[in-house]
Amino acid sequence: MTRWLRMTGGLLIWAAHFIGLYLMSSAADVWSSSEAAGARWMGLVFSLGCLVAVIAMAVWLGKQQGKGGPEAWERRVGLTGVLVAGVSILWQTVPLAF
Amino acid sequence: MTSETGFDVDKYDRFPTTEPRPAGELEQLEQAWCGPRTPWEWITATNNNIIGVYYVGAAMLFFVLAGVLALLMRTQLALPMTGFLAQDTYNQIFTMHGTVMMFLFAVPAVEALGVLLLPQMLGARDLPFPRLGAYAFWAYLIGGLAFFCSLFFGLAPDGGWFMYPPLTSMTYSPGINADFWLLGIGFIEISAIAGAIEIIVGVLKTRAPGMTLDKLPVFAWAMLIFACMIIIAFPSIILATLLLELERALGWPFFDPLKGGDPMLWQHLFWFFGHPEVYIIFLPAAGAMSTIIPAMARTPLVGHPLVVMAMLATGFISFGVWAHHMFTTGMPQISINYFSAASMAVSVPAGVQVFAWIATMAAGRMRFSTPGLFAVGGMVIFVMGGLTGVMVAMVPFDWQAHDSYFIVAHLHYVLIGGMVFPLFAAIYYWLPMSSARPLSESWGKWIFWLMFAGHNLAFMPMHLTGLMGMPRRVYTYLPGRGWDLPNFISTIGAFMFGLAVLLWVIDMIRNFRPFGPREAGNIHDGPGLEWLPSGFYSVRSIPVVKSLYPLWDQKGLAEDVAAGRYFLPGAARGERQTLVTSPLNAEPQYVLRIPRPSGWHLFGAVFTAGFFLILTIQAYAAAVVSGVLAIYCIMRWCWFLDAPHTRKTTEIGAGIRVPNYVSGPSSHGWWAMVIVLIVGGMVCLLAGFSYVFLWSRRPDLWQAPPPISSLLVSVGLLAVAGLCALAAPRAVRVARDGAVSAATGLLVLASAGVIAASIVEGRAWWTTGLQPDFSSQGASVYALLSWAGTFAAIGGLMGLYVVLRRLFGRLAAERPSTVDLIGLFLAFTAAQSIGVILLVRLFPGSGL
Repeated sequence: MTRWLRMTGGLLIWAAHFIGLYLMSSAADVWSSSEAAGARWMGLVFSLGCLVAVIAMAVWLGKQQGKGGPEAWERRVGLTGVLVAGVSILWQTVPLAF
Repeated sequence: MTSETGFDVDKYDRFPTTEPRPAGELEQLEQAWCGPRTPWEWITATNNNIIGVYYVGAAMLFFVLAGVLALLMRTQLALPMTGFLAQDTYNQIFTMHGTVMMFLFAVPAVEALGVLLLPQMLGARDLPFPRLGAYAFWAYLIGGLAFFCSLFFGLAPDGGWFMYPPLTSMTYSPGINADFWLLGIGFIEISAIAGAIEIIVGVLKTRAPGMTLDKLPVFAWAMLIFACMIIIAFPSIILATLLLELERALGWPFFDPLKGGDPMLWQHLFWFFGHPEVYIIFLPAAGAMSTIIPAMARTPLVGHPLVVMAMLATGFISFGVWAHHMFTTGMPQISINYFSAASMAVSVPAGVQVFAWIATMAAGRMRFSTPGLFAVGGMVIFVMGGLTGVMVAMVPFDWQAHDSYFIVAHLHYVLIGGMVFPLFAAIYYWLPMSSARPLSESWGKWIFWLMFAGHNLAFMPMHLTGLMGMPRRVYTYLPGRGWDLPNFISTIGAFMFGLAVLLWVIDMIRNFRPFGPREAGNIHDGPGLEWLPSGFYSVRSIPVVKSLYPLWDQKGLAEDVAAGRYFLPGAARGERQTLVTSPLNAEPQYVLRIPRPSGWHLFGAVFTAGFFLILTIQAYAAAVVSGVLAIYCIMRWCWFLDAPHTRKTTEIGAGIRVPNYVSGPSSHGWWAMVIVLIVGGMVCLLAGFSYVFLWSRRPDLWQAPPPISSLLVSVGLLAVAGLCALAAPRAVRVARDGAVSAATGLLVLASAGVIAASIVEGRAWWTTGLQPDFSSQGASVYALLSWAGTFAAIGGLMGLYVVLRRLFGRLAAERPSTVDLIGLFLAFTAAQSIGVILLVRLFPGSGL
């Protein structure tokens, strides 16, 4: 499981971020309005949490140098996934500003 | 490399072996895997070489049929105000065209390609559940043909391929046309899920030793992600079709706003399936492109890890873009913004793959034979469709283009470029492997250029007609709006495309003629294991893989494999066998005995299809009879599983011995059961989402749940049932007399417990006076309870099955798989039921 997590961890955080934002805005829309400042701040804090998780993931993967063979390849896939996830989370957070 | 299973990978150095193979070994292998000889054997065959060809053939048949429907539509639209098709007929035809292309051609075609190619590509003898694969094929073929034939009786659905309510509700779509869609498609998706289970377990568990994830062919990666996406996405359409059918047949108001329902629920459920479906179709095609382009350019794929990451990323993000089909429905602005951002982001992983293909072509010397032409042509068309995709991801543009011919153009560019052209590239590339004959190269070039030009002539003008305001799905239009000429050109293009397909069909018939030489061999110098010499048994011996491109990098591999110098070179005891390996490092774990063909899977498919189809025409008694017969056939099919072995181990070559039987998480059956439970869990999760969604629409209609006493009884019963189910696998492993009886007893108790809890909970709700047709709360509560109850009923059947196996001496302590799997199912059923009960009792306000 650890090796699958290494490969897909960044993408999983990205998916969790998207679903979390959607659920928060939907919930806010039921109770008050998804446009409310409180809902936006919640989304921003959640996005920052996801970014921290992505950075932690990158650090974890960075520390695993030295292993050769398939595990090095899996680490490379994981690192590129983390990079994509980081950029995507930033991109997905932009709508909160508008 | 860290070992995953404790297997010493240095043993791979013993291969290829040098000693001569025993006399008669090859003959025994051929005997064990002999092909069908009689018509009955052809029908009941389970071997992937045969089922794969049937499967691809059936998918292409539906492609041709849906293409004919497209030509009928284009004839009607060639000129303004023509009367070639009546309006009602046109509605049925465009609905059937979309439905057949998406459900009966696109997904089955790529699944079929997987069934046909994966065993050879992975170095396996067959996929691990060949009868399940055959069942999935026959269910799909019978269900698909019956569904298509509804067109000839005027009973075809006519609500568009996404069947939005309220148009498809009983009020606006009386008759059984919509029911054909709902039951037919729901059933066909079950067949797709069966195929996905086989593909996931096949890719993870039956790879050649040494084929670690970095050496896994890109096509196999794509099929693995594709199958995982099916497991997550398809439960949504199964649930959606169930809910709409329940509303139509029984009046449960999920989508009726007068009783608290909401048609938007359908759109959420449909597109949670429908948008990933686009990537579900695209990914295997992209995997084929990433295989074909390096072979045709004779150079490794540039950016291999990036391409794999891009496919994984596509799989993930595809579940975050479903609502971009709903920008015009009045969702909250910020949600629309999230989906717009995600829709633009999805172009990044697709772009990574396209750049990798271009770089590979630049790095090598691309050969523009027919597979190369189709690969490059597909890429060009797909990029054009992708660019208009970014345009419609922008909300203001989408508001203008929504439901216009611009969207028709966009989706055809994406689907034809992203799936149809790569599929033709795959057929031209791999056919010499499958039929041992290549298709005509000169015809192929004509077919490509006709198809490429025809496609662009047909769909390019639709961008203009869309921007000029022509809505999709109109059966005719007035002259003088500037739509006449582009529509006429589109029709000419469509017929050019049709001519190309006709030429291809003729060439295929010529190719499969039963006479003439069959010795094409590896004509493209392909680097994958699928190009090894093979027979019905796939490869003579299962090689050790040391490279992503073994036939390029491992010299003499083909000769050594054909000489039986690698793993499992014979058929010990005359059995059909393949090697099961670990999911990450592909280390040998055990020998899997593959069942021989029988008729039970076929009868099971016939009666399952019969159940759904007869249900459509509301002949309920006959449907029940068909359903019972289907259950009987499936139980008979399972009856011969988990049978005893005469030996505990088998020598798989070079003195290495592995077990013939394992149980628990190492076994392929355990993996399949876990995947089935994920499917069930996804349906339940989405039903839970539906419950909360409907509450959020009309909370004023929600009434209090039943008293807490019944909640305690239900949850208590389920907790005990779950514990019994978990204890059974442990009990059967206790080395004592009576262990098997104890495990049987625990499973029976567990199944009785889940059934009893279902009855208690259902009765508790009924006594509150809430009935399913009263309100959206009633409908969603009873839908959730029915889902949990269905699992409980299946659990009851499993309890009966385990008792019968015990009585007939087919349970044994040394073969605990049956107990393991039934225990797992019942434990899941209990946990799922607890989740359902707690949701409907405690949300939004409990009766505590």
